[in-house]
Amino acid sequence: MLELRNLHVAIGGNEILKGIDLKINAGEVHAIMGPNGSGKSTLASVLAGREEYEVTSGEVLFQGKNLLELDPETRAREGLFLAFQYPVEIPGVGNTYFLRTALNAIREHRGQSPLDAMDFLQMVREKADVVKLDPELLKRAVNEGFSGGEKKRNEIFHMAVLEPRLAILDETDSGLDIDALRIVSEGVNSLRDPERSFIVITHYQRLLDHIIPDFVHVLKDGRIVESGGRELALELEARGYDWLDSKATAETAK
Amino acid sequence: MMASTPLFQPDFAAQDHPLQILSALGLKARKKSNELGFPSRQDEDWRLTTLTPATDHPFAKAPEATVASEGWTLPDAITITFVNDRFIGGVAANDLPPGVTMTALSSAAHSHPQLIENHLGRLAGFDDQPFVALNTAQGLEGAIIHLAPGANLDRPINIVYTTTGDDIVTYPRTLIIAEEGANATVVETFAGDGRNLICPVTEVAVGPAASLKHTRLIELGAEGSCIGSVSAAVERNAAYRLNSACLGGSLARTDIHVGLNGEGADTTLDGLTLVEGKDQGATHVVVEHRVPNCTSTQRFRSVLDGRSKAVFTGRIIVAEDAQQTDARQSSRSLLRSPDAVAHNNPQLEIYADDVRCTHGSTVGQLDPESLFYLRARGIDRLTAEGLLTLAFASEVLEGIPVEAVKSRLEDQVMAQLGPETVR
Repeated sequence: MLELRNLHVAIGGNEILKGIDLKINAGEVHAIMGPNGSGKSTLASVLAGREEYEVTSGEVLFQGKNLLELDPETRAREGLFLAFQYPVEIPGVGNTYFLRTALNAIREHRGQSPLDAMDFLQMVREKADVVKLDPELLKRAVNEGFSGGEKKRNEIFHMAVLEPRLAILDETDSGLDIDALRIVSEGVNSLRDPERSFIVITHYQRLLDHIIPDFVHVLKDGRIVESGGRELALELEARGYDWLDSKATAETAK
Repeated sequence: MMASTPLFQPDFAAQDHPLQILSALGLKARKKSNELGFPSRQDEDWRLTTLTPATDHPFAKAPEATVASEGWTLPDAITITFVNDRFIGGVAANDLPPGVTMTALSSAAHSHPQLIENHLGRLAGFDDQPFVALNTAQGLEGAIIHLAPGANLDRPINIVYTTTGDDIVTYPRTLIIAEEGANATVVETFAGDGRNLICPVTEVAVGPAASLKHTRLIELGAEGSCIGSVSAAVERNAAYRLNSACLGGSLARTDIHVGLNGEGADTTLDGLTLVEGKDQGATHVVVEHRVPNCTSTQRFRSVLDGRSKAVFTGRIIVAEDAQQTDARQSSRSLLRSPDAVAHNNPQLEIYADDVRCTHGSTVGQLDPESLFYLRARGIDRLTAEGLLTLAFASEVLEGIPVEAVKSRLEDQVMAQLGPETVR
């Protein structure tokens, strides 16, 4: 599904990612954890195609294609989805209208006919129910006046409608209370599929109680310093990120 | 103060109107127009307007015989149509709703001389307004709408002015009188096709407790120009809403003057200007709060592409005893190109002490974060830019009282911006 090979990324001359290797197969859920400033969001941004980041070396293959050559909209149409850490409020652009434009652009790319307004509305209502999104929010402008929790739910709702092959959740748990966290997680879990992969970026382990990952990677100072199964997240929760430092030091000393 | 640029000379042979009043007004305006000439850059009000598209070209009034190629008309409206300053057709008097008079000024001179006597030229003064003087001297053809006290229209009135053919200048003249308690929606459409010049003047009298919703839609050809004005007087407890939109053309300038003359009067002025290439768009607004307890809201938006220029000047004048005035103004410009230039000049002249006046003015670009968000969901750049631009414009499009005009404008905005996938 996705393969990163020795990915180096800089912004404004500062190297943020310093050689990432990562392979994600269809159906897998990979969690990427790490302290603030470790490069987690940079990784999400560069995969989604944010232009201010500069890839200085390495490559990224998405379903066999060179992802880095594609503009953001083509990546989305190829099946990549980024749930934003800070979803943007766009006054004047209706949530439903926006989503239909996006979906039909993606459908066209896949060689499918556009969904007409009635079928679309029917589908949107069903999907909104999955993330318990207040139907009133469908009538509003994109994220305008939404609470923090509503914005995150709206992201998962967009994901449910657009049905990506690879979804990247960038700190979707930040700013969510326990109930909202559960609802968002249930939404994500309902979309788990042998053909769909997830990258779940989070600072805290608690999200991973709800979305059970197959693999956990720890990102630190632009490198993946540790990879393991779900138990790695639990260990991090118990011992903190500093534990990895002492562990690394101990290994070097051997 | 004004440069003595010669006017479009050939038209200055006296064209006497059959009625004394029109003839006298025209004569006076002719003298003033010759005296004023065209404004120059030295004139403060015209400092930022480059008039050369209008002044450097030998425009002439259309010859008598004109092929009637009408512009877009509003569906289900009460329509009156003019092409190249000549009355083409309208609704017969018998078929008009009760309380409504709608006729061409030329025939009103015979049928309703008193209306003309009482109102024409009263609001659009031309002592210091060169283009109003020119219109009054050269034109005096257009629509006169009179709404009797309490008249209440359930259909909009559409006044259609078409200017067709290269090198043609037209002087449309509208007079709208809403008597006490009357309620109506009037849509004026000005369409130009080639390299022509439209110099319209509209006068609006909104009587006590009357409500007038007035939309002006100006659609010009790529080389067309329009230099026009609206002068309105709003009486006690009356409401006047103006939605102005201007698309296309190398030069489009609108001067708007609204006087709030009676307590409780309210006005809302919304405007949208779209300019591209080397076009200029200009809107100059004066709102006068002459008495206490009046409210005014101005929202003007401009969208600029290429090397275009947009100017907004909004003056709010609050007279000494106009206490409890609530006046708001916002002007925002969206630069879609680094070479475009927007000037926003709010001007407050407040002589009362217990008032609330706010103004805000911004010039900005499309938000890159919003653009990325849309693209990251699969929407191509051009469409995303179009959506965000439409969203910017929607702040002033939302308030347009006639749905057909609103959706036409939305389509026009998207068409001007290029993408095909939206709508």
